[in-house]
Amino acid sequence: MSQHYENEGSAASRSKAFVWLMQRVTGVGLVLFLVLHFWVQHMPTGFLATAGEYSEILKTLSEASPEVVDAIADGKIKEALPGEHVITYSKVLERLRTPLWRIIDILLLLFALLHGMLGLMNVLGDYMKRVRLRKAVVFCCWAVTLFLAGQGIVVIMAVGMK
Amino acid sequence: MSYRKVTPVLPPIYGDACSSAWRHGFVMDRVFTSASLRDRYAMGIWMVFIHVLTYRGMNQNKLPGQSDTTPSFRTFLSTVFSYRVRSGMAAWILHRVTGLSLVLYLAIHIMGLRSLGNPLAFEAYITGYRNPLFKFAEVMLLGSVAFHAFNGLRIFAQDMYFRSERQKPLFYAVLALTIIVTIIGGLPIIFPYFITPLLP
Repeated sequence: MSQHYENEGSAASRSKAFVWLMQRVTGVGLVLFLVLHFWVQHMPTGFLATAGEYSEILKTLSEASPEVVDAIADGKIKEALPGEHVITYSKVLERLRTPLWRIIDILLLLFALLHGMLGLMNVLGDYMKRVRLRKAVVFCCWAVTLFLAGQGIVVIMAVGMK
Repeated sequence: MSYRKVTPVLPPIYGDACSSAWRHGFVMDRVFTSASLRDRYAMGIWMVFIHVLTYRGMNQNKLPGQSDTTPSFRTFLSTVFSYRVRSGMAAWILHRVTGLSLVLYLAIHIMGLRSLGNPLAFEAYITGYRNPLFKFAEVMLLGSVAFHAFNGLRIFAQDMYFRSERQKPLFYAVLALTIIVTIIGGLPIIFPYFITPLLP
């Protein structure tokens, strides 16, 4: 037990305290962001297409390109069931054209990635004693975090600027 | 003559039923050096095999009453199975499992959204997620997020405001809130798939 108190005040200990604080800050932020995200993406609101709207969207898309007709015939794209609300490209595009929504989505992405990857590093660190292995895993986690953050931000900005 | 503590070749598979010599290592006054090279390689292979199977962390020669806290997957499993699962332990396991699955889902989600580059690809991607099985997965995702969020808020609130003996009622409150939110949020998701077809 004593070894937990040996590093008190050291750089490693302070960085752990910072991670602890970050998990609290991002966690509380994520609760708010995810309520909004769930409301917008999973509940039957105006941000999704109704069955009728979706049918018309598919009609427009099939007139524009024969690939869509093939995809519908293959069952790769399906019509909405009665009463179903569907996430669709045009609605996402419409929403992300607003700069505020782009900011909200990028913040959600960064908060979720930071919270998730810090949590993952914390969990993995519990099962690794060897310092070099732990450092390698932490490095890989940060690399994955940066990659996913870049990927997500590029997608959000690319859609928003269309 | 030097006395050496030697870890036995055979694993103590019977746990506490074996003699203390097995657990603490045998004190031997003579070390065998006469084994042939082939024998030593064979023993080495068996030693590796047995140690991988019965890995308890670094501290093999622990004293009685000393807990084996060396981090390893085996230690994790033995910790999980040695506890009677009470509310605190259940909260810890569920928080960890939901957290790990949400990180995995987050990575898949971000990579999937690359299909937003092309309307056709995006509609096909969304159609994949509209499979009835995935609607159950969506509700489970909501349940995981809700549990992780409420339990995280409980941990936060407990650090700040509550004495530790309040953890049990607070954990039951977390479970109740999770179930309520999952049902309220899940119904609109599964309604068009599983309930509307049943209605006259």
